Amino acid sequence: MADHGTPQRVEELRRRVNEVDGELVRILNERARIVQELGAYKRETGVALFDPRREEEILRRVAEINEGPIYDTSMRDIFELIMHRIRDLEVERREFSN
Amino acid sequence: MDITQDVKIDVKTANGMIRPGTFRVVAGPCTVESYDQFYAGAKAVKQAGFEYVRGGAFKPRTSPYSFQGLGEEGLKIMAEVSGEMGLKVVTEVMDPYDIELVMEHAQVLQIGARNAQNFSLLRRVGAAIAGTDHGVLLKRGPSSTVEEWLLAAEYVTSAGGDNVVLCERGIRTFETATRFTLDLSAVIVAKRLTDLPVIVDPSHAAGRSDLVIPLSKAAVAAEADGLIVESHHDPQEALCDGEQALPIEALMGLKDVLSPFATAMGREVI
Repeated sequence: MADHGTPQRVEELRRRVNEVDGELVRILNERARIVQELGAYKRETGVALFDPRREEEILRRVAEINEGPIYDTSMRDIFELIMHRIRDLEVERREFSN
Repeated sequence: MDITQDVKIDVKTANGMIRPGTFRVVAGPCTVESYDQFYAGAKAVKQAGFEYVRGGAFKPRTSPYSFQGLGEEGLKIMAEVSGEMGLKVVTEVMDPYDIELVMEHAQVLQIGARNAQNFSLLRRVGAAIAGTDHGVLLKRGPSSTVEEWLLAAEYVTSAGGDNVVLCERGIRTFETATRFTLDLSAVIVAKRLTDLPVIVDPSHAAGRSDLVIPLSKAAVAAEADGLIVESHHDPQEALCDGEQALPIEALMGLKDVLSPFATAMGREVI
């Protein structure tokens, strides 16, 4: 089949996906910075980083405000990954904090 | 250069098992086989300069036909011998029905790797030891992630259990030269995520005694708060895991061997 180039509609949708991705990246880093502030506070006050109760609270809230089409369970998975990767950042940072 | 700068050596348990600036060694036989055998094993632990003796009365064996431990009789032997020598006992509890019985005879209840995610046992042990001086030694399951291990500990603490000590004992990997692979990075990660003490079991991880001392040194360097090792007065004749037990001579030298490493990390071997 001859390549007639990407249809304009697909181009447009891809452009919008890229825009949303850019926004997601920006927002995720904003979230990470807030967590870093929280981490610094926890460090000062001697509170452990591991807080499964709070994590569950966040995951429940995320599922609650989720309107789809992403499944609630998938949204939980996505946020679990986000939380843990950002927490890893804190675990690593601790090493250089003293 | 101060290599202890970023190391968390101030963790502790309220019952004194883990104390700031120390490296706790728990040693003893895999299993209580008889009064005489446990007496010899405990005496060696005492002479080696340690305060905590381990020993199994209820053994989680892969085959139901393997030696299963002496049960209550084993607990009584451990309590009697350790009482006489002024040692504290760490022993495994496998069944919720036995929790009270084990608490009568031992100070620290071990939850073994196979029960690492037995949530009802974890909860019941947590509730049973709440408000007491009894402690829990929670082994990491051989297939548990650090997250799963910490959540298992959360089952104990959320049920009221205090004095929880985590124990890395090797995870299953493709490697066959050792029985399991000692995951020292998990020790460091767990210590950064929580304030729970983390100790290392090099005996079960390696499954062979020649690696126990080098892995113990590595555990000190990897920020662990202690060790639990298997030792036997006659490994050749041991009823269980003889190939991984430190012979008495090695146990006697353990404190001296580990002390320079512990000192470098700001700790005293106890």
